[in-house]
Amino acid sequence: MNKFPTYQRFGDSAVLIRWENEISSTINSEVIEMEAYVKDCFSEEIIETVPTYNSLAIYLKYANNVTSFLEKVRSIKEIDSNVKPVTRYIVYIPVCYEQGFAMDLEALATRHELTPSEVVTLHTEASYRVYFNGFLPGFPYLGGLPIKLHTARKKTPRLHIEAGSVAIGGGQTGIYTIPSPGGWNIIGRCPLRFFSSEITPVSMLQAGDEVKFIPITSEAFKKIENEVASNTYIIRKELRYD
Amino acid sequence: MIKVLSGGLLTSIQDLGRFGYRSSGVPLSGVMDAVSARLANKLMENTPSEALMEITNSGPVLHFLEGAEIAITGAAFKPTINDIGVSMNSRIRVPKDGILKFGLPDYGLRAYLAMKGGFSTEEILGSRSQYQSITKKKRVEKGDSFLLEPFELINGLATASVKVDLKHFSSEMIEVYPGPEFDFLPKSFQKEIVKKPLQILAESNRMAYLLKGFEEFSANEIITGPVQPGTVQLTPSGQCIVLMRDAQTTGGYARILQLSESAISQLSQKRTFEKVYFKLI
Repeated sequence: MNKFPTYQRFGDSAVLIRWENEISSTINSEVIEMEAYVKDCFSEEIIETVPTYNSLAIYLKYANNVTSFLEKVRSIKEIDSNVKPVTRYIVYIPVCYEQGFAMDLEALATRHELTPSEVVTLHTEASYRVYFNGFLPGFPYLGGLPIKLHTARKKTPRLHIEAGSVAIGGGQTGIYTIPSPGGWNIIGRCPLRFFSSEITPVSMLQAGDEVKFIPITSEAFKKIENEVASNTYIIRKELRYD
Repeated sequence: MIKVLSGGLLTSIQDLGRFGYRSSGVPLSGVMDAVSARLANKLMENTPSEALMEITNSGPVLHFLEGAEIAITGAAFKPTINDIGVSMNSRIRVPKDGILKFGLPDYGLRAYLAMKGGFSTEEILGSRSQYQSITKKKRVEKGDSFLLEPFELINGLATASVKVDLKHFSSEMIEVYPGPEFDFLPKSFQKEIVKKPLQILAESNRMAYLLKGFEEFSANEIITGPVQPGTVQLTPSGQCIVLMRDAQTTGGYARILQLSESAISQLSQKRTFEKVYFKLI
């Protein structure tokens, strides 16, 4: 019998389900499927759920009995195929890698003995899985950065990084969704809004989505920025089948 | 209307928190000491979810342009209206043009000011809790003003009061569950961790409390996973972090313990240098 996933109490009113201790899209898909399933089956008892790489937190309504809920989720044998499948997209994200938006691009390229344009090619050729959102409102944890681009975080974090900044930190790439301090290497900027409390869903990217970066010029950046401001920009999305 | 003449050290509007958006990385926020906050709303016959003013260590100065009824609970401040002392933990009446001051607390760190109908500040994603990048304002500052619900004099004087459980402030015992990574700690750690005296460090805030005393312990980082208010993290260098209401929704340090809901409220009243210890439920 498979010993994963495991189920345990997480404080007064939450349950944590954990899978194998590794980062993989297969495991993350299981997490997301389980999330959809428990939300469907136990919506009355759940406040909200938080998926991550290989675990799922289920926050229960206050008066709920964690022990009996644990029994219920433990007895899930397989995910019922009648549950509505999770819809996920390939999302195309325009990024300007030009100077002024890419403070660390040149230094990063030099470190890897590449030219800045080679870095941009590597960064835009790859596709990235959104494992989950965390750290900042709407911040996607992306997997799939080519090993050639893995770069240690900066020794001294910047106090202010503009919203939309596309960055590399260690083996991860990500987008600063709101202005924030941070230690990742900035290699470009995207004119889109990744988080807004006025739009549903509030975060543009959802766990399980796939991201492709499209290089754009600074002129295109300004044009898209204006379209985003006037709510006329349409984000290019394709349904994912897998 | 209430006009803020001085903002105090850290004053903010909070309710029970912003539920439903944690999977988008939005912190829960909400009152640090939910026990005291509920008491204040109860005194005003409000529902528990009404927004209150959370006051930290050194209070604001508030000018009431109209008469009002309010209640103050939590840390033992010595509030005055027009320089005359008024009671904590009871319903009090503020006259028109009353100036409310708080002074410094004898014990505890945070107080809650409730008024009838709650503070009706902007509601974002189902909550009025102020948090940087979510609400326009992240704290209450000099010059801010708040609307008061029309106040009706019913049956003469306001008299409701409550008796406060002083243990909520004085007890050093912080109740915890084992956290997700507790079982991965060496057995000797597991035993010692729950009796070690810990000291609150000055860097503590609404996001996290930092505790001193675990320097001889350490835990490896984990693959980033869910965290919540009350999660006790242990870093590879032995730093002990207790996440509080404004904490991020995910984190990469070992989650060795998890505070009970009431223990989070209790810890939030502890000041720098105060001592606490963990006790397993």
